Amino acid sequence: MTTLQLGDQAPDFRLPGVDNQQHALDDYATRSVLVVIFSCNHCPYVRAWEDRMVQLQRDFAQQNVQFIVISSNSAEVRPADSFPKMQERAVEKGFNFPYLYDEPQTVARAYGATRTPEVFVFDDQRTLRYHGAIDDNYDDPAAVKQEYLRDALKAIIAHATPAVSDTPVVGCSIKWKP
Amino acid sequence: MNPEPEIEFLYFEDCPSHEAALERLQTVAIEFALSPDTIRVIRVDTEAAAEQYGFPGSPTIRIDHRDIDPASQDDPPALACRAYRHEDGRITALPPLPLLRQALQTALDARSRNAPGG
Repeated sequence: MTTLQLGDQAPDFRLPGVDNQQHALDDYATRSVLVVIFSCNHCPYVRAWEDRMVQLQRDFAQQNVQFIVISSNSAEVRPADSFPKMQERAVEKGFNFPYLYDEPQTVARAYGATRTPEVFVFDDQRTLRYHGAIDDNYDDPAAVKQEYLRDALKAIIAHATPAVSDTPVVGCSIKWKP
Repeated sequence: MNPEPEIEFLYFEDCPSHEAALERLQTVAIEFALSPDTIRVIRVDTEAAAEQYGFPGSPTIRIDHRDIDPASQDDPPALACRAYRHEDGRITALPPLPLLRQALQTALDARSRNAPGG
């Protein structure tokens, strides 16, 4: 499995969301920037960062930026990541973005995602412009020094190249089916 | 009785917080005038080992055989990353400093009470 490289096109997807609707890449064709984050319920790194995901979607909604959050984890391996549990989590945390279930794990494989959370940012041509972490400190939002995702979004909206476009992914491994 | 508490640090390589967590534990040990070299570091990398050690996730820290976070000590054994909670309720993958300090203080107090003449 190969992780998408900067300059690659966004692989298509069509997945069920916690709203019981189907969501496809083309549904968001009018969005200026698409942020695809592989995530899940149980991982402590995700849970440490997810309020920041909600805040970033809120902060960039006016710039026509759309977050899509996908869980590809096997519920057999981690029952806390089942679809019903995803629905509960979305309500509990007030997710302001689609939270999709990649039960066959094909989308994670197409993107080459390996961890949660793992961020892929695509521009208006759906070309990958940023890949990696949300920022440099999962433990303490007040101690963040590098806001990788926020800075990348600002650059991409301004049709500039992000100063930092690829950062190490920090998180739990995606739980593949046995 | 050995004057220094037995400190065990168990980790699963796949969870990236273990290096920072061990450094944090070593720092706190030094604060308490304990030698960080006495920390027993145990790598857990199979489900069987997780079962054997009763390992609920990485990192797990036990002082005198007591988990520093009793809230999670009874979670089922698993090769997983472990969540801790800051005092303000935020989730983190790193054992918070106050939790480490409290656990060490509790262990030292218990040893002091149980020491001959204590």
